[in-house]
Amino acid sequence: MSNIIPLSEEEKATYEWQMTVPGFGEKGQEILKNSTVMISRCGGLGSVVAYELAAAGIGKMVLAHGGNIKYSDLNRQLLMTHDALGTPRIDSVEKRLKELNPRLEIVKVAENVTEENVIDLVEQSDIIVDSAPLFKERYLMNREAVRQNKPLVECAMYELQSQLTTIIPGKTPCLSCIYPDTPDGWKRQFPVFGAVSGSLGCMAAMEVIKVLSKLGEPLYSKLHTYDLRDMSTHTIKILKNKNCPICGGK
Amino acid sequence: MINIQIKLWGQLKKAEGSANISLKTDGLTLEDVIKDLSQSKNADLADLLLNVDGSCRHSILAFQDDEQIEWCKELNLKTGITISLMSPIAGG
Ligand SMILES: [Zn+2]
Repeated sequence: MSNIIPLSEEEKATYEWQMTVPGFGEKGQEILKNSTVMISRCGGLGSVVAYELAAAGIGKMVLAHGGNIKYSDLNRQLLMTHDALGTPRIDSVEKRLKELNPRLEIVKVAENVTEENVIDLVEQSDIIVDSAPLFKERYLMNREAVRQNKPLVECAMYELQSQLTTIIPGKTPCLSCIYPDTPDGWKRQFPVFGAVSGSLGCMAAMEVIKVLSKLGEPLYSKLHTYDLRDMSTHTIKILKNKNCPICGGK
Repeated sequence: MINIQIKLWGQLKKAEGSANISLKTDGLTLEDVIKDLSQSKNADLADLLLNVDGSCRHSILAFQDDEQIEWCKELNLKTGITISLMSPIAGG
Protein backbone atom coordinates (compact mmCIF):
# COMPACT_ATOMS: atom_id res chain seq x y z
CA MET A 1 0.00 0.00 0.00
CA SER A 2 2.86 2.38 -0.73
CA ASN A 3 1.14 4.40 -3.46
CA ILE A 4 -2.37 5.15 -2.24
CA ILE A 5 -4.79 5.60 -5.15
CA PRO A 6 -7.52 8.07 -4.14
CA LEU A 7 -11.23 7.31 -4.39
CA SER A 8 -13.04 8.12 -7.63
CA GLU A 9 -16.31 10.07 -7.57
CA GLU A 10 -18.16 6.79 -8.30
CA GLU A 11 -16.51 5.16 -5.29
CA LYS A 12 -17.33 8.11 -3.05
CA ALA A 13 -20.96 7.80 -4.10
CA THR A 14 -20.97 4.00 -3.63
CA TYR A 15 -19.48 4.00 -0.13
CA GLU A 16 -21.00 7.18 1.30
CA TRP A 17 -23.04 5.31 3.94
CA GLN A 18 -20.09 3.45 5.44
CA MET A 19 -17.74 6.44 5.13
CA THR A 20 -19.88 8.16 7.76
CA VAL A 21 -19.02 5.44 10.31
CA PRO A 22 -17.05 7.18 13.11
CA GLY A 23 -13.39 6.21 13.01
CA PHE A 24 -13.57 4.96 9.41
CA GLY A 25 -14.28 7.84 6.98
CA GLU A 26 -12.81 8.47 3.55
CA LYS A 27 -9.36 7.51 4.81
CA GLY A 28 -10.61 4.05 5.84
CA GLN A 29 -12.28 3.63 2.47
CA GLU A 30 -9.05 4.51 0.68
CA ILE A 31 -7.22 1.88 2.71
CA LEU A 32 -9.76 -0.79 1.66
CA LYS A 33 -9.44 0.26 -2.00
CA ASN A 34 -5.67 -0.10 -1.83
CA SER A 35 -5.68 -3.45 0.02
CA THR A 36 -5.40 -7.05 -1.17
CA VAL A 37 -7.22 -9.81 0.71
CA MET A 38 -6.54 -13.51 0.19
CA ILE A 39 -9.46 -15.86 0.83
CA SER A 40 -9.22 -19.64 0.89
CA ARG A 41 -11.66 -21.20 0.05
CA CYS A 42 -14.77 -19.42 -1.27
CA GLY A 43 -17.20 -22.01 0.12
CA GLY A 44 -19.94 -21.38 2.68
CA LEU A 45 -17.75 -19.06 4.73
CA GLY A 46 -15.41 -17.68 2.09
CA SER A 47 -18.25 -16.85 -0.34
CA VAL A 48 -19.83 -14.55 2.19
CA VAL A 49 -16.52 -13.04 3.31
CA ALA A 50 -15.67 -12.28 -0.32
CA TYR A 51 -19.13 -10.89 -1.11
CA GLU A 52 -19.17 -8.58 1.91
CA LEU A 53 -15.64 -7.37 1.17
CA ALA A 54 -16.49 -6.80 -2.49
CA ALA A 55 -19.46 -4.75 -1.32
CA ALA A 56 -17.25 -2.84 1.13
CA GLY A 57 -14.85 -1.80 -1.63
CA ILE A 58 -11.74 -3.92 -1.13
CA GLY A 59 -9.55 -3.22 -4.17
CA LYS A 60 -8.08 -6.64 -4.87
CA MET A 61 -8.70 -10.24 -3.83
CA VAL A 62 -6.60 -13.37 -4.23
CA LEU A 63 -9.17 -16.16 -4.28
CA ALA A 64 -8.24 -19.85 -4.14
CA HIS A 65 -10.88 -22.51 -4.66
CA GLY A 66 -10.63 -25.72 -6.68
CA GLY A 67 -13.26 -28.04 -8.12
CA ASN A 68 -16.61 -27.76 -9.87
CA ILE A 69 -19.98 -26.77 -8.40
CA LYS A 70 -21.99 -29.66 -6.92
CA TYR A 71 -25.56 -29.82 -5.62
CA SER A 72 -24.24 -30.12 -2.07
CA ASP A 73 -22.51 -26.71 -2.37
CA LEU A 74 -25.76 -24.85 -2.86
CA ASN A 75 -27.08 -24.84 0.73
CA ARG A 76 -24.34 -22.40 1.79
CA GLN A 77 -21.87 -21.41 -0.97
CA LEU A 78 -23.70 -18.27 -1.93
CA LEU A 79 -21.45 -17.31 -4.85
CA MET A 80 -22.36 -20.57 -6.63
CA THR A 81 -25.55 -20.84 -8.66
CA HIS A 82 -27.78 -23.67 -9.81
CA ASP A 83 -27.32 -22.85 -13.49
CA ALA A 84 -23.54 -23.19 -13.10
CA LEU A 85 -23.62 -26.76 -11.68
CA GLY A 86 -20.67 -28.75 -13.01
CA THR A 87 -18.61 -25.68 -13.94
CA PRO A 88 -15.54 -24.38 -12.03
CA ARG A 89 -16.45 -22.83 -8.69
CA ILE A 90 -13.89 -20.07 -9.09
CA ASP A 91 -15.54 -18.87 -12.33
CA SER A 92 -18.86 -18.52 -10.55
CA VAL A 93 -17.13 -16.70 -7.68
CA GLU A 94 -15.54 -14.20 -10.08
CA LYS A 95 -18.79 -13.65 -12.00
CA ARG A 96 -20.90 -12.99 -8.90
CA LEU A 97 -18.34 -10.68 -7.30
CA LYS A 98 -17.89 -8.67 -10.50
CA GLU A 99 -21.66 -8.27 -10.83
CA LEU A 100 -21.63 -6.57 -7.45
CA ASN A 101 -18.37 -4.64 -7.82
CA PRO A 102 -16.93 -4.38 -11.35
CA ARG A 103 -13.99 -2.32 -10.01
CA LEU A 104 -12.74 -5.28 -7.95
CA GLU A 105 -9.47 -6.81 -9.19
CA ILE A 106 -9.45 -10.60 -8.78
CA VAL A 107 -6.52 -12.99 -8.87
CA LYS A 108 -8.37 -16.18 -9.66
CA VAL A 109 -6.72 -19.41 -8.48
CA ALA A 110 -8.56 -22.55 -9.61
CA GLU A 111 -7.02 -24.74 -6.91
CA ASN A 112 -6.97 -24.97 -3.14
CA VAL A 113 -4.03 -23.92 -0.99
CA THR A 114 -1.06 -26.28 -1.23
CA GLU A 115 2.56 -26.40 -0.16
CA GLU A 116 3.43 -25.38 -3.73
CA ASN A 117 1.26 -22.24 -3.98
CA VAL A 118 0.90 -20.96 -0.41
CA ILE A 119 4.04 -18.79 -0.32
CA ASP A 120 3.12 -16.94 -3.50
CA LEU A 121 -0.54 -16.47 -2.54
CA VAL A 122 0.31 -15.03 0.87
CA GLU A 123 3.05 -12.80 -0.60
CA GLN A 124 0.47 -11.14 -2.87
CA SER A 125 -1.83 -10.26 0.02
CA ASP A 126 -2.03 -7.79 2.91
CA ILE A 127 -4.30 -10.04 4.99
CA ILE A 128 -5.48 -13.66 4.76
CA VAL A 129 -8.86 -15.18 5.54
CA ASP A 130 -8.77 -18.89 6.34
CA SER A 131 -12.10 -20.48 5.62
CA ALA A 132 -10.79 -23.84 4.37
CA PRO A 133 -12.25 -27.16 5.52
CA LEU A 134 -9.02 -29.16 5.70
CA PHE A 135 -6.52 -28.69 8.51
CA LYS A 136 -3.62 -29.29 6.16
CA GLU A 137 -4.56 -26.11 4.28
CA ARG A 138 -5.30 -24.21 7.48
CA TYR A 139 -1.92 -25.03 9.01
CA LEU A 140 -0.14 -24.07 5.75
CA MET A 141 -1.77 -20.64 5.74
CA ASN A 142 -1.00 -20.17 9.43
CA ARG A 143 2.64 -21.12 8.95
CA GLU A 144 3.03 -18.77 5.99
CA ALA A 145 1.14 -15.87 7.59
CA VAL A 146 3.42 -16.13 10.63
CA ARG A 147 6.55 -16.39 8.47
CA GLN A 148 5.55 -13.39 6.31
CA ASN A 149 4.16 -11.44 9.29
CA LYS A 150 0.68 -11.02 7.78
CA PRO A 151 -2.61 -10.86 9.71
CA LEU A 152 -4.80 -13.97 9.45
CA VAL A 153 -8.52 -14.14 10.16
CA GLU A 154 -9.41 -17.68 11.24
CA CYS A 155 -13.01 -18.75 10.91
CA ALA A 156 -14.55 -22.14 11.53
CA MET A 157 -17.97 -23.67 12.02
CA TYR A 158 -19.73 -26.87 12.96
CA GLU A 159 -23.46 -27.57 13.11
CA LEU A 160 -24.88 -24.31 14.55
CA GLN A 161 -21.60 -23.26 16.16
CA SER A 162 -18.76 -21.01 15.12
CA GLN A 163 -15.26 -19.90 16.10
CA LEU A 164 -13.54 -16.69 14.99
CA THR A 165 -10.21 -15.11 15.91
CA THR A 166 -7.72 -12.74 14.32
CA ILE A 167 -4.05 -13.64 14.41
CA ILE A 168 -1.33 -11.00 14.37
CA PRO A 169 2.06 -12.73 14.21
CA GLY A 170 4.25 -11.77 17.14
CA LYS A 171 1.31 -10.37 19.06
CA THR A 172 -1.41 -13.01 19.41
CA PRO A 173 -1.57 -16.82 19.59
CA CYS A 174 -1.37 -18.46 16.15
CA LEU A 175 -3.57 -21.35 14.96
CA SER A 176 -0.97 -23.88 16.11
CA CYS A 177 -0.88 -22.31 19.58
CA ILE A 178 -4.65 -22.84 19.87
CA TYR A 179 -4.81 -26.23 18.16
CA PRO A 180 -1.33 -27.82 18.08
CA ASP A 181 -2.31 -31.11 16.43
CA THR A 182 -4.26 -32.02 13.33
CA PRO A 183 -7.47 -33.55 14.65
CA ASP A 184 -7.78 -37.22 13.77
CA GLY A 185 -10.62 -38.23 11.53
CA TRP A 186 -11.64 -34.70 10.48
CA LYS A 187 -13.80 -34.91 7.36
CA ARG A 188 -14.34 -32.28 4.68
CA GLN A 189 -18.10 -32.75 5.05
CA PHE A 190 -19.76 -31.94 8.36
CA PRO A 191 -23.19 -30.82 9.56
CA VAL A 192 -23.86 -27.10 8.98
CA PHE A 193 -26.47 -24.62 7.75
CA GLY A 194 -25.77 -21.83 5.26
CA ALA A 195 -27.13 -19.33 7.77
CA VAL A 196 -24.33 -20.34 10.16
CA SER A 197 -21.57 -19.88 7.56
CA GLY A 198 -23.29 -16.69 6.40
CA SER A 199 -23.43 -15.07 9.82
CA LEU A 200 -19.85 -16.04 10.58
CA GLY A 201 -18.66 -14.90 7.14
CA CYS A 202 -20.10 -11.43 7.80
CA MET A 203 -18.22 -11.24 11.11
CA ALA A 204 -14.98 -12.40 9.47
CA ALA A 205 -15.37 -9.73 6.77
CA MET A 206 -15.82 -7.14 9.51
CA GLU A 207 -12.61 -8.34 11.17
CA VAL A 208 -10.77 -7.75 7.87
CA ILE A 209 -12.21 -4.23 7.57
CA LYS A 210 -11.31 -3.47 11.21
CA VAL A 211 -7.73 -4.74 10.93
CA LEU A 212 -7.02 -2.92 7.67
CA SER A 213 -8.60 0.40 8.66
CA LYS A 214 -7.58 0.19 12.35
CA LEU A 215 -11.23 0.45 13.36
CA GLY A 216 -12.54 -0.76 16.73
CA GLU A 217 -11.09 -3.79 18.51
CA PRO A 218 -10.43 -6.88 16.38
CA LEU A 219 -10.40 -10.30 18.03
CA TYR A 220 -6.72 -10.19 18.99
CA SER A 221 -5.93 -12.99 21.50
CA LYS A 222 -9.67 -13.61 21.73
CA LEU A 223 -11.72 -16.45 20.28
CA HIS A 224 -15.30 -15.45 19.62
CA THR A 225 -17.66 -18.38 19.57
CA TYR A 226 -21.40 -18.72 19.36
CA ASP A 227 -24.03 -21.42 19.23
CA LEU A 228 -27.10 -20.41 17.24
CA ARG A 229 -29.01 -23.35 18.76
CA ASP A 230 -29.44 -21.39 22.00
CA MET A 231 -27.92 -18.04 20.87
CA SER A 232 -25.15 -18.30 23.46
CA THR A 233 -21.92 -16.40 22.80
CA HIS A 234 -18.49 -16.36 24.41
CA THR A 235 -15.40 -14.26 23.78
CA ILE A 236 -12.60 -16.33 25.27
CA LYS A 237 -9.19 -14.97 26.15
CA ILE A 238 -6.73 -17.32 24.43
CA LEU A 239 -3.09 -17.89 25.27
CA LYS A 240 0.13 -18.24 23.31
CA ASN A 241 1.87 -21.59 23.59
CA LYS A 242 5.51 -20.93 24.46
CA ASN A 243 6.41 -24.27 22.87
CA CYS A 244 4.55 -23.53 19.61
CA PRO A 245 6.62 -24.90 16.70
CA ILE A 246 5.25 -22.25 14.33
CA CYS A 247 5.38 -18.94 16.19
CA GLY A 248 7.53 -19.97 19.15
CA GLY A 249 4.95 -18.38 21.45
CA LYS A 250 6.36 -14.93 20.56
CA MET B 1 -15.08 -35.67 44.90
CA ILE B 2 -17.06 -32.69 43.73
CA ASN B 3 -19.69 -32.35 41.06
CA ILE B 4 -18.91 -30.03 38.12
CA GLN B 5 -20.62 -29.32 34.83
CA ILE B 6 -18.98 -29.92 31.47
CA LYS B 7 -20.20 -28.19 28.32
CA LEU B 8 -19.15 -29.89 25.08
CA TRP B 9 -18.82 -28.10 21.73
CA GLY B 10 -18.40 -29.30 18.15
CA GLN B 11 -17.57 -32.93 17.54
CA LEU B 12 -17.29 -33.56 21.30
CA LYS B 13 -20.98 -32.85 21.70
CA LYS B 14 -21.78 -35.07 18.74
CA ALA B 15 -19.69 -37.92 20.17
CA GLU B 16 -21.37 -37.71 23.58
CA GLY B 17 -24.86 -37.02 22.21
CA SER B 18 -25.39 -34.21 24.68
CA ALA B 19 -23.89 -30.76 25.22
CA ASN B 20 -24.21 -30.55 28.99
CA ILE B 21 -23.06 -33.28 31.35
CA SER B 22 -22.21 -33.65 35.03
CA LEU B 23 -18.92 -35.07 36.22
CA LYS B 24 -17.72 -36.18 39.64
CA THR B 25 -14.02 -35.46 39.92
CA ASP B 26 -11.25 -34.75 42.38
CA GLY B 27 -8.90 -33.67 39.57
CA LEU B 28 -6.28 -31.05 40.31
CA THR B 29 -5.49 -30.12 36.70
CA LEU B 30 -7.28 -30.03 33.37
CA GLU B 31 -5.47 -33.24 32.44
CA ASP B 32 -6.98 -34.98 35.50
CA VAL B 33 -10.48 -33.72 34.73
CA ILE B 34 -10.31 -34.84 31.09
CA LYS B 35 -9.05 -38.28 32.08
CA ASP B 36 -11.92 -38.61 34.59
CA LEU B 37 -14.35 -37.52 31.88
CA SER B 38 -12.91 -40.02 29.39
CA GLN B 39 -13.35 -42.89 31.86
CA SER B 40 -16.90 -42.02 32.83
CA LYS B 41 -18.34 -41.41 29.36
CA ASN B 42 -18.53 -43.26 26.05
CA ALA B 43 -15.63 -44.50 23.95
CA ASP B 44 -16.30 -42.10 21.04
CA LEU B 45 -15.84 -39.13 23.36
CA ALA B 46 -12.73 -40.67 24.91
CA ASP B 47 -11.24 -41.14 21.43
CA LEU B 48 -11.55 -37.40 20.79
CA LEU B 49 -10.16 -36.43 24.19
CA LEU B 50 -7.22 -38.84 24.49
CA ASN B 51 -4.33 -39.96 22.32
CA VAL B 52 -3.82 -43.72 21.83
CA ASP B 53 -1.22 -43.70 24.62
CA GLY B 54 -3.82 -42.31 27.04
CA SER B 55 -2.39 -38.79 27.18
CA CYS B 56 -4.68 -35.81 26.62
CA ARG B 57 -5.06 -34.33 23.15
CA HIS B 58 -3.83 -30.77 23.46
CA SER B 59 -5.98 -29.69 20.53
CA ILE B 60 -8.90 -29.60 22.94
CA LEU B 61 -9.49 -26.01 24.01
CA ALA B 62 -10.84 -25.66 27.56
CA PHE B 63 -12.24 -22.56 29.15
CA GLN B 64 -13.97 -21.42 32.29
CA ASP B 65 -15.62 -18.01 32.69
CA ASP B 66 -14.33 -17.04 29.22
CA GLU B 67 -10.69 -17.64 30.20
CA GLN B 68 -8.64 -20.39 28.57
CA ILE B 69 -7.53 -23.08 31.02
CA GLU B 70 -3.87 -24.04 30.80
CA TRP B 71 -3.10 -27.75 30.80
CA CYS B 72 -0.69 -27.91 33.70
CA LYS B 73 -2.00 -25.18 35.98
CA GLU B 74 -3.76 -26.29 39.15
CA LEU B 75 -7.51 -25.78 38.97
CA ASN B 76 -9.53 -24.45 41.85
CA LEU B 77 -12.64 -26.52 41.23
CA LYS B 78 -15.81 -25.72 43.11
CA THR B 79 -19.10 -27.57 43.03
CA GLY B 80 -21.30 -26.46 40.17
CA ILE B 81 -18.70 -24.66 38.04
CA THR B 82 -18.79 -25.23 34.28
CA ILE B 83 -15.78 -26.15 32.19
CA SER B 84 -16.30 -25.88 28.44
CA LEU B 85 -14.40 -28.14 26.05
CA MET B 86 -14.04 -27.28 22.38
CA SER B 87 -12.65 -29.37 19.56
CA PRO B 88 -10.95 -27.87 16.50
CA ILE B 89 -13.43 -27.07 13.73
CA ALA B 90 -12.93 -25.72 10.23
CA GLY B 91 -14.50 -23.94 7.26
CA GLY B 92 -16.20 -25.34 4.22
ZN1 LIG C 1 1.84 -20.33 17.69
